Amino acid sequence: MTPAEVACEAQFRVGQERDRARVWLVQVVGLAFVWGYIWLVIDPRLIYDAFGIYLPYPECPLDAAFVRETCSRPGGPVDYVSALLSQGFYFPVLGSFVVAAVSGLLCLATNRLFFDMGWEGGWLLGLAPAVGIVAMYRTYQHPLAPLLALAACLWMTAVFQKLPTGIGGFVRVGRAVVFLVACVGLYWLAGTVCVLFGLLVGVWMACVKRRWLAAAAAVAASAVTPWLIGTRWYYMTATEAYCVIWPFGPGSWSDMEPLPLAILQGLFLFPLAMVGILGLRNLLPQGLQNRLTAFAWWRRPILGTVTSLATLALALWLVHVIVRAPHREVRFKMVHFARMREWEEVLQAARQLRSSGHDYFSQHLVNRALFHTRQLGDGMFAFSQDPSSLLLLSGDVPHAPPKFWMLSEIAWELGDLNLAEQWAFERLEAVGECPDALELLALISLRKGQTLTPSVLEQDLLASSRQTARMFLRRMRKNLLHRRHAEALLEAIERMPLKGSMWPGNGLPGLRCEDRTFQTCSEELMLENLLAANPGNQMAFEYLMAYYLLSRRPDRLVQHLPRVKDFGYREIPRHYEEAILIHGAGTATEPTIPGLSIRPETAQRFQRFAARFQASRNQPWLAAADLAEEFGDSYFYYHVFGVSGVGRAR
Amino acid sequence: MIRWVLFLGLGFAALAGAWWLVGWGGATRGDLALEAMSAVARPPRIEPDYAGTVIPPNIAPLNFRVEEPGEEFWVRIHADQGEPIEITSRSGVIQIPPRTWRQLLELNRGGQLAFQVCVRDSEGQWVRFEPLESTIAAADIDRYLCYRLIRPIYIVRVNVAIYQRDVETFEESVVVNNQSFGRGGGCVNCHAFAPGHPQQMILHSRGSGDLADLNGMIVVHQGRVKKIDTRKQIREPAFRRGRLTKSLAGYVAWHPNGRLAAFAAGEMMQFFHAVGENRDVFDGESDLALYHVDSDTVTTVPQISRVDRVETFPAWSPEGKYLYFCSTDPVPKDRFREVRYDLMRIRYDPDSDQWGEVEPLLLAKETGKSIVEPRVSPDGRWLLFCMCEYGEFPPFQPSSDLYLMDLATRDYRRLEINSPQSESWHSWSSNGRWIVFASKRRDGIFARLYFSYIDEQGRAHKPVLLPQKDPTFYDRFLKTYNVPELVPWPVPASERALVRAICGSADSSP
Repeated sequence: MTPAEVACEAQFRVGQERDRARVWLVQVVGLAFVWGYIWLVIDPRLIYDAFGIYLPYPECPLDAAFVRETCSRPGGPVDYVSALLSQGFYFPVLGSFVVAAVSGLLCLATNRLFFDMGWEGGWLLGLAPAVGIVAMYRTYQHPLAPLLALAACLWMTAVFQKLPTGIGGFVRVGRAVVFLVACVGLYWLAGTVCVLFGLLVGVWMACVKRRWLAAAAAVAASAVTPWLIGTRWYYMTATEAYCVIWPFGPGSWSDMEPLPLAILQGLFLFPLAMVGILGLRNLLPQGLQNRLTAFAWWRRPILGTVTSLATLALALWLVHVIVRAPHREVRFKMVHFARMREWEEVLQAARQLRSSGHDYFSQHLVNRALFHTRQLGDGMFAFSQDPSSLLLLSGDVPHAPPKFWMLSEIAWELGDLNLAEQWAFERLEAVGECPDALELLALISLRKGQTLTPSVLEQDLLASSRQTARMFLRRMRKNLLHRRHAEALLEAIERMPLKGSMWPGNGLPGLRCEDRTFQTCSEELMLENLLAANPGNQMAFEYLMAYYLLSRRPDRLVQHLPRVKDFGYREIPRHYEEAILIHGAGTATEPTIPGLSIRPETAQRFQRFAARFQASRNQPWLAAADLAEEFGDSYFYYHVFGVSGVGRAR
Repeated sequence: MIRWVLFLGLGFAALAGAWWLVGWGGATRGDLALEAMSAVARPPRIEPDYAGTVIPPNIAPLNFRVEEPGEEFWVRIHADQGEPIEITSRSGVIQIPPRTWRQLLELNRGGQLAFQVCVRDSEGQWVRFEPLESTIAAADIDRYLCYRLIRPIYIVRVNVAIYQRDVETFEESVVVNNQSFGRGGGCVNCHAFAPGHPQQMILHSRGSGDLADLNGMIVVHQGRVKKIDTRKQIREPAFRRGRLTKSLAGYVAWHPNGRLAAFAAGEMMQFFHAVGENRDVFDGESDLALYHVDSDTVTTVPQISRVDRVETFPAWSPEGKYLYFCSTDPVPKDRFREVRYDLMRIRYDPDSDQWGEVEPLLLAKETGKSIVEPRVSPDGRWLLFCMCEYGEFPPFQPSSDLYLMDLATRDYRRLEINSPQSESWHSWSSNGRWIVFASKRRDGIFARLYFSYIDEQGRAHKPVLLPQKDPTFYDRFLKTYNVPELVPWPVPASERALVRAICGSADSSP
């Protein structure tokens, strides 16, 4: 080789190295951006706190029996790993790293496939999955299991394509056996993605290896694998067998809103589509292929790097701007702050929702936050309200994970132990063994034990209630993140005297002592019973008054009004005043509470409302629009029109 | 160099293996004779408490946890015959090797089994406790135990399954799981086996709303699995009585001839209490009928389907000449605390299909309690039943206890094995020497299964908790057991066949 040739060769190598470094730089920067974006903009903690409420609960106790059981079904290993990684979302920095790492796995695998199809310049497009993942998380979805399944499929394909090739029959048979084992193994490991694996291998076989028969066989084998293994080995129905961690068809991963579902489906189809296109390109004459490859104009070192980064930034910026799920984001925030018991922040988040954006569950959290900030009687109609949302006991509220969580929590706070126990158990059954449900059940057991009066027999029952509490806490101890808390509670039980008084549940209002039975619980009866059992139960009182307000029964509210003084109110809450005025206008009476009177501004406001309403009485919808601006946050408006939280109140 | 590393690595591995096999603690304790240890004048606390129990000779190892403080634990299980079993543990969890356990029990049927427990404290001193003793019964218990595992369910049913456990090992398998329906719900319950007919069983499937098509009685008979809607199998107008045309079949009892099964058709409803035990059940109306397997028809007689009585819980005597059941006067739901069932029986001749008159056996007005869930022993001598404060669903009644009646004298008594919590869902083993029952004695919420030996005199001996491989299993298992049934043979149908029948349409051909 001449010195010139050597120099040329060296220069070429340097260029290659520089290209490779540039590719890595852009990829690392891109993934770092994904990490930062998920961490700082999405906040994985919001996702963690929505587990078991708005998102499926990723159950992964450190329990060999559970691991065995999970791994005994197709897709179980990926489900377990996904659940384990999801625990990292408790720490935002770790959760976002998990997302970035999975994005990296997908991008690298996609690049690998492009490379194997003979397209070295496709690395920037290989970052598309990362953008898709950011878009998914932007809509507050958590499709970690399907993403891991997809990554497993792509890497399995990449590894399979690296297996030694040969013309000998032995190698061919060997590859076929390896393919079948990989297909079955992938079905067990990650579910229906084995079909995608077969398709990818099929395209590669056909377009790169030009082995059409083998390609057809690979596709056919992968297509029948779920049916064969799923229905014959795991006793699943054919539909179930084809829907394991798969976003197409009726499986659980298809149960999300259209936009994130479309993105997820796009992520699954993207590698196949690209490999298909590249495969078709490979079938073109060599000259045309070269001309297409030469289109990689961004190979210029600096310009290419800048352009690549800019393209990536633009894609992410477009995702940030276009893909949004504002209602979902606010609901996630409300749940997060409610769990943190930061009630002002719950209200602040709720104010970001339009009246139409509220549902039973957000309204319920608003009322709970209003009570804890002592504003329920003054501010509830500044928000959208529905009578069913107060306690979620109505049949209108669907049995859904948010209901199980919210109802068990509110019943516990109100002091209705049996109701709290019922809904916490419903949560265990429907959602899984969430640590907060286990803790609540432990506290309920202890509290129930403490309400017993001492006798020989009841000492036994008391001991058994402690035993029950221990069981729940021991189960909770199996949770990676809540282990220490469970151990602390277990120690507290051991230290607690048999008739202890220092348990956290003792801060709760007095409990019911009179039994009554019901098939469907009524809000009024429940709250009245709680008040009868403990006249000092302020939460029951305020919720009862709120119930009368929401059900537009000011007469019943007025009957309970004298109790206001028992709870140390210095003035009558505004909505109670408004209800008194409405009741007074209807009955020509004015109830009085010694020492408390209706504020003049409320009375004047009522006069104004009545006058304006009378003026446009014949056109109620016009009146509603006219009065919303000034009175949209008042009980007057809600009582007449049945809506609230409109107009200036927003 | 590499060879040296390999050599040292293998050496360490061999040492570690030897340490694991022999057990470090065993070696240290071996230096000290039992007599030289300081003695504690009481037996050790172990969990589950197997001390003083009578155990089946074919039971799986009774693994346990020593509940004494210590750094190291050594247990010696011995009997008159055979090699003793010695186990060392650092955690206090004692897992007994199955093969030697089986040999020891087999050699000592009818004899005593002793558990000597020694503990090394934090100062390195070994102490020995007084030995715990159990009796090994001469009679085997039926090998298979079929039960349902559920959460303490209220409204939502996500995972409801019937399981089969081999009590000689720790192997548990699914008989049928509602998740296998692929429909996101449904329920399976009330499995019943035909004594002496290994190829027969019945269970029920339930669904409401969109899942209503799952409803039916699943009959396994002569290798065929079919779904029956008993409401549609009544051919004669005379048999269209009471609830039979309206309600699905519930509690079932196979006749010993295996050709017919008695069942209750009622309208049970769940309701809730504001304080105390959360759930309760009320059955306002219920009637009994017979399902004839060969003809796929349902018949009844007025004596067991009276309009003015609520009849339920059918149970046959072992020779099949009597049908035992419980009945009460109907009352409105709000008077549920007044519901008390009487124990009745009626003579039946299966050959001529002739019925006698209803004969009261034990009346609630005599006992002041509700008498439910009668089960006759396979020798026909004893009748085991529950009595509780009121109602027909003892699992939700902490007052529910087990009682045994001598059918020859009609004397009955409360069994010594009861606890302050609910005891219910009892079943006899085929030799009549063992019963299994569900008890909430550990915590008041979750029912666990216990075996008790019933001797010739009808005495029930201290029960044995269904053993698990991990003795801490029940400490954190948040499901409740119900309807345990002891059977000498495995379930005669695969899950696949059962699911296919449940998801298929009901068989209405005559």
